[in-house]
Amino acid sequence: MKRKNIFIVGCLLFILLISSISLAAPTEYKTITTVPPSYAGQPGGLTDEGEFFLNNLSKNLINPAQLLDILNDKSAKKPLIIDVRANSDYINDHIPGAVWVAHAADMGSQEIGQKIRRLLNEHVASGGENEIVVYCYTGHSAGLVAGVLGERGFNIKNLRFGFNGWVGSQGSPAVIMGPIEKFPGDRDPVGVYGVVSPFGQPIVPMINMAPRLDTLEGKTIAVVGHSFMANVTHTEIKNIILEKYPTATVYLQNEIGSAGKYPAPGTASESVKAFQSKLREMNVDAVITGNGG
Amino acid sequence: MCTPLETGSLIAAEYIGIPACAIAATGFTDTVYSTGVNNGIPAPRAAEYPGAFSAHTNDELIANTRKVVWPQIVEALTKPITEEEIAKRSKKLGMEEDPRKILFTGTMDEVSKYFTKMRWSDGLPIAPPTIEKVNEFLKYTERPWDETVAVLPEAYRDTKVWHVAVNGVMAGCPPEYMPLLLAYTKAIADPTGRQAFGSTHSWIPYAWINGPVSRQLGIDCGQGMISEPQNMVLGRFLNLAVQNLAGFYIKENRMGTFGYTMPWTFAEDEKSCRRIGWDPYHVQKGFELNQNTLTASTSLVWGNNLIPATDDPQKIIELMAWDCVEKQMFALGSSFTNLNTRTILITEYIARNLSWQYKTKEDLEADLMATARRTAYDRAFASYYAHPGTRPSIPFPNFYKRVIRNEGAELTAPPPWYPPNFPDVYTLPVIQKPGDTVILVTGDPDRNKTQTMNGGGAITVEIELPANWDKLMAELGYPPLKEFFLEY
Repeated sequence: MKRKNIFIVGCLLFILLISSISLAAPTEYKTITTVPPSYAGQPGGLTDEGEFFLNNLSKNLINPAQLLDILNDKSAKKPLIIDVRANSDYINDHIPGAVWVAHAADMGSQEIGQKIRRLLNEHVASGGENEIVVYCYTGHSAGLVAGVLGERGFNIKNLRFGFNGWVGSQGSPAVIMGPIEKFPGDRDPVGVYGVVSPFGQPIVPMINMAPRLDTLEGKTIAVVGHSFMANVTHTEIKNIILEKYPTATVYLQNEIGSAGKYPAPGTASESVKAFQSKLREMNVDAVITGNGG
Repeated sequence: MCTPLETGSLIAAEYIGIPACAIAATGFTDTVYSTGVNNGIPAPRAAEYPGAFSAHTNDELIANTRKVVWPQIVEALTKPITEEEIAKRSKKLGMEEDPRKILFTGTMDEVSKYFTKMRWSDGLPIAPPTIEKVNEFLKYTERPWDETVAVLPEAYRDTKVWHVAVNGVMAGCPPEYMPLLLAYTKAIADPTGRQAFGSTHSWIPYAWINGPVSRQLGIDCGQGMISEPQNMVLGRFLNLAVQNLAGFYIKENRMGTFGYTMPWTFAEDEKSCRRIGWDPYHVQKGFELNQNTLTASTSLVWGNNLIPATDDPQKIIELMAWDCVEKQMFALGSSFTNLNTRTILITEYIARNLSWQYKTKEDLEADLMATARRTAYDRAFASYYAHPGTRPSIPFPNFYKRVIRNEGAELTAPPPWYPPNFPDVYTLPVIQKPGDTVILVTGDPDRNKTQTMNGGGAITVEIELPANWDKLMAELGYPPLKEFFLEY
């Protein structure tokens, strides 16, 4: 009986043990999946800041428009902006205030890291934000740089889409100076497209504008064109000129003609030539033309 | 059309060192600026007149000229031009020396928004023109990627094969449409093919395809033809080409008052033509039956269509003549006889009935020209009171007499749609001369429809297919071109 009791107790303990294992397993699994392994403080491991950086990768991007807003906000502390493209491209054109320390491929060295630390300290001492914004051409290489420097404890953000995105976001008339090529191995991330212009360069060169007049007094003015009630407006313009500038001379369309539509480059227009000859022949100083509508 | 015309005198003057200023109505000063810049004037000067000239009384015209326009003219002629002004007027962004340069990187949505913001798109979502996608299009032409296809007004840009492909990508065209895209670009290099894109009258570009390649690529000529996806993406390309390749921009120099519909494309139903015994359009123009062509045109209206409820060819042509007269009555038809052209689309059902009386399209056009007449009074009324821009300075009765005298009116029986016993009246032909009217057999062959689209002329260019076209098509699963040939 005693043996039998021992056996029953043993069986119960076994069942309890199995039950405890099967109940404990999911709890352990959850723990493992929700808490990343910590290497902070271990030999060769991450700093606390580096671990924080890696856990917040998606938050370490800055959009070009956001950066533009910060730079335009006079009251905002500015980040230290580091250009990691080729030095020649940095010299050609860069984001206002950006500094160049090294090419992206060299940014991982201890020496460069120390240099950046000094730059950042100086930047903060002169009133700047304790933050770095790094950019390359498209955002790929700078993302790696941000990873390396972020792991070392820098408060660093990667400029989304790099310098191309910066130029595009401004919509400025500035000529873009970035290169075509990417770094070896760089690929557009899935769902991101590098795109080209849909039109070519104009072939008509720009001329120097004719100098403006100091006054209309004493000048010869042609008032030409025949569209949209010019028969009324142009006569009135002649009246105004002669009222305000009695020594001026005015020629109207019926006296001097007009050029008509300017011809395509490389083609001639007899009406343009004739009009220009008339302007010269009659010593015209200024032309008023219309009406467009 | 008038603003670029009058800006011509400004450009001519500035080129010989004489300062100039152009007067333009509200909304049209940008046309002065873009016309000037496109022709090499870096900072053209304009004076803005407040409102529409011909809607104002003479007193208003004089008052506005004195108070509003004159001070601007003085400033335009005497205030020195600054570098800032030149920078503001001249646009450089996007005009790249190397067309392959990546200008922007972003998601599909961001690329579309960026292109719209930069006015590089018509505002609808675009397919991102990546180098890889553009290269796919280049497979379907033998022309080098950097060869110039055309330098198109208004912007006079060096449009290379590359740029044509870029806009094809953006439009969502299949890469194998590249020969068609190149043909359209060449066609609008001819003034006939891009007639009056800048006018306030909203000329809409459209095109049709002839030849076996239209059937091979599935360019539709049946029911709902312009709304078939393959036709629509080609139409979208036309829209982008007008903007990006030719340089016509909404609210800048593409000034359609009521805006534009999306351009459309279609094919002529050449099989129907063969059944009826009429020549397809490209054959009428001197091409071989199995050559491939694209014809570019413009229209003032898509509009409603006629549904002839008769099989009598005489009544059908009278209806068509009436439609031509109705649609040519106003706007440009009222005053510019040199723009008096139209395209008439006829479904096979109606074309067959007409063919009983007219053995060729030319016969049909000749009778249409004789029948489509309007009274000289109608013509004078429209031209006098809807005269573009300027009120005629003579009284209407005198104007009416001038129309009769100058435009060759004849005392004839009234048009057939007038009441019986209507007295003879002075009439004028709406169709000026043979060849001004394009007749195409196309559309749902089971419906009785004709569609008159008054508007611009038409220019036909051959579609150049690369020598390895059949190989390329086979790779894509298309049957060889010969299978789409028609028998003579």
